[in-house]
Amino acid sequence: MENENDRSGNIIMGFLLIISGISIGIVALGMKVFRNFLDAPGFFPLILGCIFVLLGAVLCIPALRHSGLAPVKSMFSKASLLQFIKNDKTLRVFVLLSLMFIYVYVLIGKMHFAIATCIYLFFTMLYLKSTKWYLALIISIVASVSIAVVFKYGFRIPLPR
Amino acid sequence: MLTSLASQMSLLWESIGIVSTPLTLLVILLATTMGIIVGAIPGLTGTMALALLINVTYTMKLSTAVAFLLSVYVGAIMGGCYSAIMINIPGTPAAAATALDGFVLAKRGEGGRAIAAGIISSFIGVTISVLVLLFLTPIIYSVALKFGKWEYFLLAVFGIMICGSLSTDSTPVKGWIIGFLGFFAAMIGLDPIYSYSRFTFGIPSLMGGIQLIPALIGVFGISEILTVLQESTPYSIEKDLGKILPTKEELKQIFKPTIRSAFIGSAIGAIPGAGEDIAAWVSYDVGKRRSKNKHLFGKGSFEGLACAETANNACIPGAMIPLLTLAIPGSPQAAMFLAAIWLHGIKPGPMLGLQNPTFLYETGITLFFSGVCMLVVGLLITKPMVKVLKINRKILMPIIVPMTAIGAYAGNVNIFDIKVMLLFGVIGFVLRKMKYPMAPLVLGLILGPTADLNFRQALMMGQGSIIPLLGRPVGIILMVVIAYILVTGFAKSFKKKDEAFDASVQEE
Repeated sequence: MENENDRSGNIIMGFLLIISGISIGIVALGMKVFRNFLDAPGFFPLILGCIFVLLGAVLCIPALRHSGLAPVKSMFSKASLLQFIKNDKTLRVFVLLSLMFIYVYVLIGKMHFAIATCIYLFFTMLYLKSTKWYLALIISIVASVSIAVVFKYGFRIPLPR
Repeated sequence: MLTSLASQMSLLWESIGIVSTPLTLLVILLATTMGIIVGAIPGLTGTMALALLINVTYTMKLSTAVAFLLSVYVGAIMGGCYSAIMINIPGTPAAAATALDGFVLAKRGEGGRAIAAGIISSFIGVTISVLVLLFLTPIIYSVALKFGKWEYFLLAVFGIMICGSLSTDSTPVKGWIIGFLGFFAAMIGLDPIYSYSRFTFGIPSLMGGIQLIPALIGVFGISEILTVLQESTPYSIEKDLGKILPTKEELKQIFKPTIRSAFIGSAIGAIPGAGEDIAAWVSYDVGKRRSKNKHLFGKGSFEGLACAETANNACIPGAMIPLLTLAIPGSPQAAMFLAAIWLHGIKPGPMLGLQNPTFLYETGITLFFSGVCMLVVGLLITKPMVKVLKINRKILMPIIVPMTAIGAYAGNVNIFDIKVMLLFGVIGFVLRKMKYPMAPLVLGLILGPTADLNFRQALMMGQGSIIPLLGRPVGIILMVVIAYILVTGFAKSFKKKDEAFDASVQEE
């Protein structure tokens, strides 16, 4: 059974799809036509854009008919947003994702892969309270060195540098 | 007919020789064991394992790589039954139906026999399904050889539509949206006809398009890690396994449902993107309807457990049928396998039977051998597996992240691919939270270029007219089926919404 959250999700996703579909269509129409429009690079994306608009409408119109914009308004109300931000799960995902982004966008490529991995693993385990801090440090060092050695020399796979 | 049978037998014999080398057999044994362990640990799914391991096979010989990946696949799907039975948490989504009866049996102290029944059923499922694969695939090859541009385009659309419809409990529209998003992601990069840059927005790294493997690792690896670590609730294990081998009576009881479920699993595996979890649920449902002891289903029935376990493993060879004949994977794991054999220069499709005639038989024999290993190793390690289930996921899951980074990087040796992987991981996580299925996204990424190229070329050949399509019987059948899926899918979506509306009106 659909609940308020599903309905607001459908409305938001529906709108996003309609906007994306229109944007894809506009970009596709602007693509170069070589011989005729049917084999032009933009032809298939244009059709996809139209499909997105159609599916977006199918997703959001029934939800809008059912309860209008009320579920979206309530989702973005101050109280709901505060509740969402203060939620333990939200915070955990936010911190874990931040650590992953730092690992991928900042650490990898700037230093040796094993060092970057060790830093990432230590702070992630520390945050998750996986084990005592010194054990987390030992596990991080052992795991990062093992991964680097096994993949580089065992499987002969290049490591990110 | 007899000549054809004789040539198939000779190919089968040749393939047995290729697969039966000591190295390949050792790889099958080790990979199946690895798959069982990975599948048993909640949070480490077979899909994730395959996504991570594709790049490990870069340096392997083709037959070894095929043996490695297929064995991990077989082991992981069966491995899910350990945690489903002992802790009521399916190690892989495919084992969700197993938990219904398995956990009740474990609580009664019959966990060991339940696991053994699951392993034996899985083995029978794989074996029967391998026979179906070897028998049916050559027939489909001969039909698929007659496919033209229109058929390939329609097949790609059909794949998305059927996968979108089957892979979600919610409205099929959600599955279709994800499938077409996959199509769109596949459009990024250089166009296949004129090499015109599409949706790259001036980013040079996007010229080569979204690489399949980083996207797969993101969607099935990173999003899974986030999902597991977000919850991270401790679980209790039923320690008393009881006896390991099932009684004669129990084996007799599961015999018929196992045979039936093997065919169901095989057939569902052959449907693009449907996957092992759907096979298990459908087979469980059919088993319940056909059983004389239906009242026991859900209350600790060996029959119910056998139905689910047989079907999810039978799905594996079944998923190879559309993959080898039409290059359309039958499940997300099969999509990983497709990506891996592409890396080794194998192009599945109707020509595969001519270009690499032993490949089908090598695949079938490898699956059978890994089924045998699964049976032996699975029964032997049942008791030690209880200890594996106690692994601290808060330590294990972060360690997988660097492996995903290596997996994404290794294909093109490009750090940009790791960034793409992380973005797909975030997208996958958000969409999963919103109850969108991920299987159609993978299928969309794989089938997008096929759909785009064949549609435009078909239109070019017909000078903009779709009339040539009307003279092609397979094309017409596919169009009718797509229209049927579309109409029933929309009807189902609106019916669900109307029901929800009526219910809320009544509540008010």
